[in-house]
Amino acid sequence: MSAPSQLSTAFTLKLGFDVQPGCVAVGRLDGVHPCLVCAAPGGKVVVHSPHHAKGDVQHSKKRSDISVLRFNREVTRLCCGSLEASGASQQPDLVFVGSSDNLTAYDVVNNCDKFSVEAADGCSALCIGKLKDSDPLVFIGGTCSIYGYDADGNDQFWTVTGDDVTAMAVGPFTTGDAELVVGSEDFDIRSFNADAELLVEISERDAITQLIRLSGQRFAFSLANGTVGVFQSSTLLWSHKTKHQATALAAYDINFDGVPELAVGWADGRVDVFNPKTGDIITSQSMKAAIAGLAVADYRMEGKETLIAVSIDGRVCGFSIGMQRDQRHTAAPVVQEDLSARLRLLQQKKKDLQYRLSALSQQTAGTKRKQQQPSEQDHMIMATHITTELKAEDGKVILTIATSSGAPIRSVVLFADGLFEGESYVMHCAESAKSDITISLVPPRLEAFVIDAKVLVGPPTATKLGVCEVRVHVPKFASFHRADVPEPTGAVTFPLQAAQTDKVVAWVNKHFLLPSPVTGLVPPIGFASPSGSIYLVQHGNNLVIGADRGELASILLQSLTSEVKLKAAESAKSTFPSQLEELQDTLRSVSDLHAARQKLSVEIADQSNLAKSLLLRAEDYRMMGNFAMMRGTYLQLGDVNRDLIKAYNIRNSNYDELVRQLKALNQFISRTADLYVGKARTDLIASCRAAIKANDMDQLFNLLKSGATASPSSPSATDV
Amino acid sequence: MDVIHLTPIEYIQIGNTAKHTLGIIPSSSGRPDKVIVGDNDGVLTCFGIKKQHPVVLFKTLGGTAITRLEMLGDRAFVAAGSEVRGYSKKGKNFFTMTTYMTEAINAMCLRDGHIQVAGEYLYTHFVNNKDEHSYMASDTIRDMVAIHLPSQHGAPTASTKHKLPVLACSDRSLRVLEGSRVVVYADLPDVPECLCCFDDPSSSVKGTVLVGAANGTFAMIELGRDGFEVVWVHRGLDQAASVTAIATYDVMGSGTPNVLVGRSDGAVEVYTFEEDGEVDTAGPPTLVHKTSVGSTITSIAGARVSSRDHAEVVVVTYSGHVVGLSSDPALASAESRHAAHASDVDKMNTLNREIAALEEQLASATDAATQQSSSSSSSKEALPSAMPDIDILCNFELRSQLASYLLSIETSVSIDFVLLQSNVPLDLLDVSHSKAVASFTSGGSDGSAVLATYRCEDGITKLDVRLRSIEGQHGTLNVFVVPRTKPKIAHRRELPIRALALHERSLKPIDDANLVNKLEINGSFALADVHSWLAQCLPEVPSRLPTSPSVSYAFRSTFIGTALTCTLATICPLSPKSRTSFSTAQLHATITLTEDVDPHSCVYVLERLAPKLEHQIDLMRKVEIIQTLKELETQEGGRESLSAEYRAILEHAAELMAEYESQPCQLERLYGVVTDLFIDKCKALGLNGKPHLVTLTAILDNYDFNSLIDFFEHEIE
Repeated sequence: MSAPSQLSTAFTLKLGFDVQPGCVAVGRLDGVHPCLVCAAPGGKVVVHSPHHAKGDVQHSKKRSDISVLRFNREVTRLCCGSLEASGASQQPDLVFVGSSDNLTAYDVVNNCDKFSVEAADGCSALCIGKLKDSDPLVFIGGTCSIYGYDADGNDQFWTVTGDDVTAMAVGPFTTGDAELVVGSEDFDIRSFNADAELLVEISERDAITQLIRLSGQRFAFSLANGTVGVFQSSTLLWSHKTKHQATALAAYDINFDGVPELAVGWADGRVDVFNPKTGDIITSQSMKAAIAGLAVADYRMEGKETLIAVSIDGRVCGFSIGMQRDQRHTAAPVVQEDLSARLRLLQQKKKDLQYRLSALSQQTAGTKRKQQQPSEQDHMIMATHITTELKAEDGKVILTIATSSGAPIRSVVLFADGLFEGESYVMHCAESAKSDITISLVPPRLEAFVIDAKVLVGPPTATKLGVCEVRVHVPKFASFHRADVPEPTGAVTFPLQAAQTDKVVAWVNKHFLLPSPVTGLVPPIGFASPSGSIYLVQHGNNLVIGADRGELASILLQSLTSEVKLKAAESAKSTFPSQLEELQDTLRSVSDLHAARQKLSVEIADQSNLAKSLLLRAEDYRMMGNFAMMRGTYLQLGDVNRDLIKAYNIRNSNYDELVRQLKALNQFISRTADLYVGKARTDLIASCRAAIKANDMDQLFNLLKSGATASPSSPSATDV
Repeated sequence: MDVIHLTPIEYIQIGNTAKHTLGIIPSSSGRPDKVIVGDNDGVLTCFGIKKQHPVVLFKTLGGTAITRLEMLGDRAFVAAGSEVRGYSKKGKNFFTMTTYMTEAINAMCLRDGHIQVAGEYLYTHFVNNKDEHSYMASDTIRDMVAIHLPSQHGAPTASTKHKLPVLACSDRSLRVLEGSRVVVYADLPDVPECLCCFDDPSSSVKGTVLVGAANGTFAMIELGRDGFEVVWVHRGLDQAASVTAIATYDVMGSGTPNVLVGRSDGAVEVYTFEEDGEVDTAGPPTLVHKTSVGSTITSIAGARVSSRDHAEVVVVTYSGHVVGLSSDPALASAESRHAAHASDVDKMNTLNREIAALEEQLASATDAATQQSSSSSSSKEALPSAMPDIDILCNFELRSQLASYLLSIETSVSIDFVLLQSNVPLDLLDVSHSKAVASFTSGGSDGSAVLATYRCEDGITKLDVRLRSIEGQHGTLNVFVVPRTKPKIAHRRELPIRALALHERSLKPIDDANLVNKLEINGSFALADVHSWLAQCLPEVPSRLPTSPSVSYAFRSTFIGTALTCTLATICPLSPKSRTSFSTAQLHATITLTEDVDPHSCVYVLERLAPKLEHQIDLMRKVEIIQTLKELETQEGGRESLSAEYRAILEHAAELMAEYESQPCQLERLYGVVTDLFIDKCKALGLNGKPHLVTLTAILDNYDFNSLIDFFEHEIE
């Protein structure tokens, strides 16, 4: 085993500003020298440029290194990079500043906006990357939508996702070509190719907060519940849950093997470096406040990369590997500390094993000699086995846990991420000694869950209780119970080949809780739950998935097609008449809100002009000594000011409502698109985008109403 | 920042250890000292350092857990159960004595021919193996040390020639015994946890001891025949862990001993009395070094183990690590650190190999066991039998500075998860250094108000949880510790949540003039009954009934600062809330309750609360505007344009934030106290106070002391 690599502090500095989480980047703003760019509250962007044009590696902590740019909009996301297609090495980087309604590409050196575009869906994620055959784009993720802009500020890419986008990264993920990997609030990681085609969809246990590419097809992610993990082309390599939230991720090669490791910044100020393959912590450092962002750059221009951590209170710390000039003070204690902690862990591991071994040998010796006669009760508890049963009932999943020996259950602890409020659910029996316990689970989403159940068995007075462990798999559609349901109003129909019937049946058996397995799709299989009913039937060569709501059908279809490779599903036909009314309402209110917004803008402009003139007039009166008039004018100004505030508040709520409606619209498009697979899906989204761009609401409505007819899928796609 | 540098050296790993089980065998002929340690497996291990590697000199066979180790010259005496054994430095067991004590010995003092031992309550003095004296303490004995007690005139008399035992008892006292008699009784400000003698070379006759307390403080007490004096109390951080081991040794080589402190969170601290070259033992010492070794420190001592030339601190942890912290500067040099690193890597490789071997062994043993059981599966006896035991350290103590409890659990095997269940609501607060992932189940079933799990990573053996109960509600907290053993066993510990849990024993008797309210309970019940009721309501009530006919206990609320005096058979709360929390249904005798509630007592309490409330409200307001002020500062390019008040806030922003974050929800808690007070007042008047709460909340939101008083006086009339 080689000595683990260690981090030592290379430099520290204070920005003098608080830093917004997630708004830290390093860029070569003049094309040569790296600068640290951070966003501070109040719409400020702070740039730390330690190197001056002369190129001297000066490293002073003087404030003169720090410049402040004012954007007058709260910055939500920030990144640095170049959108120039040519691979020139000294291309200056632009600073991309995202706010709730705008994206600005700013050239710091020339002090000018390169472009500025409206971002109606907000900017909650930002990244730069090059998809196949396209120029580098800046991707901006907002409420359920993603835009990609080129160097001139033209949008070249557009798609929708299931929920608010929280993180994005570009790189080859499932295929060899670069993909856009998107994490969103609805716990999903989705990957799109250059044609905005959905390639893969992975469900995680909580909202995705961060996503970066490490190397090759390896991506690291973090979740809101404190998990970090690494995917290798959609296969989870490892994940690690802690009590703190990861606030920043970075790819940093700590051991010079050419494969970057995963650096994670935490809310408690720690910075850990993980082995990307195994998830072992290689080294750890810490700062005093939560980490706002991590960046990797050759910041001192000395030929090796530094890991730069920025804390929310504006402290910057650069960590680097190995030899330092001031090694005496910094490097060594870290080495000691780190190893002794690992040693202690190993010693504990050894102790655990020794304990288990001695317990085991005692046991076998005990049974042989029968010298230590356990009490009847102990015996019963130790011999207890657990049986579990799952049943769907009225939208809930009923889990029954029973002991084989009739021993009383004291407590049941269920560990499952994402199923409960926290990571566990406890059912405790204080006095009653029951040998079976029924727990009703309400899956918050249509998702498969694995529950690690730990059952504490023993009478209430016992100080030692047996712990039985059992793993329960809750299928994806567990909350639906088998029932005879009338044929729902909406349905998706697509051709199914005879050979694939068995696969669909297997899919049904796997993902639903059934009293007994189904054998065929005729007669129809019905499922019901308070959130809607499902109806599956085979009509000759066609499979019909019926559901009251489009979203349910789309989830079913996506689940089915991910498991059973139905090429034919590309030519699916769907009808969900009941939801079209909702769509109409949404579209109407969107256009109403747009109109109102324009009107309000005009009003506010008028009012502010009035305020300006009143102020001038009042000052004139003061000069002339006409205090009575001055007083009156100021009072008037006060009224106007009040009106302005009122108008501003109205505008604000109007804006919030607009964002909400746009989100609903985007979600509707996404859901409708999910009713189609492959090319049909992509084409539908592209057509919708065209309609939105042209502001043609009728066209959009028609598209969403009869997506299949508008999508140019040909019947020839049915062949396998 | 550390003033001196100490390099940690991992010596050996033994079984789990009890308190004070480390001894130093002083060297002869200029060779390094040797270390002797006893563990819970009953094994006594002696080792020395040869060529920088620990070499075990002898190891005894296991048996009853060793609960105490004392040195007499170069001989070690250990207490195991009720037995005392002596070992020579070669490991020869030359002496064994059975004390026939009913309690396990947990403290011991030795001198030639004399052995003094203390169990939980009982102290016995053996002279030539015969018990001569004994004493029964009214509360548990935590530690014992022997000192020379100076007489009134300083001249040693016959009785002061010998050392006298000092007992540290849970009732916040030190008792010095002579024969079977208490000659000095010293009140302590905190509950003592461990003791050590302080040998000041500058004065020859002085009965000075250092007392480490459960709440993280430590103090120097000077004992004399005519009384005692608390010389100083060192109060560290609010959240400092319990002092579990304390010793003195001249680590810095300055001629005056340093104070060595080991804490329950694994911190090892070295303090010095020297400041700018002057030695002052009359004031609290200053911290010069702090390290953490991760597990509760059970013993600490100073010695010269690695080399004769450099002093070091030797600590033993609960999990059985023996660690030295050497002052040898050579160890801190780059080369030796490199060597140490290399040896650590070696050690890691060895451990990895050992683990692999053990895993293999375990797998084959499991196979054998399953085969054996399957071959005889028909008979019931083949099934796994008794539930194996495991060492669990479970401490649950009030931290008065934070008005909350600290539950700390430490086990010998890694913890899988811990389940907390309580039938009364508790606030579970985060402990920053704990790494466990907490999860709470709301809407508990079957009368559980709290259901929480703490899941630990592999290799974690320690869990700390800070919690706070609501005064007036009493119940039980069940702690289920599930270690990573196979078969898996949950170990339950039951902890009482007392109705007045946030009160602590107060030393000073409370001035009668401050007694505002009085509640008398009279009836035909025994003193023992009322004593046990009291124990159910309040912490720190000795579990043994005092022998005197009437006893008075004084308490102080750690949160709002009100006081309470309980005189047995008469409970007189000073706090206006006459909280008689134990249910009268338990009283089988007829009783009469006489209440004497001062009508102005509410105002009295509000007056006491007012400064706290105002401080919190002020703090809250300041914290709220810090961000805005900072923005203004950067906008204006300086803070000159701001008023003096705002400038002051900006200057102290960091401190204000730290204070605000260290006590989350403090204001809500205070509001809760005021609201409860109002409800209680209404109850006392036989009214329903609930409808008025809206008004009260409004008053609190726009806090004004006079309108609050006004509300309490006139709202319900």
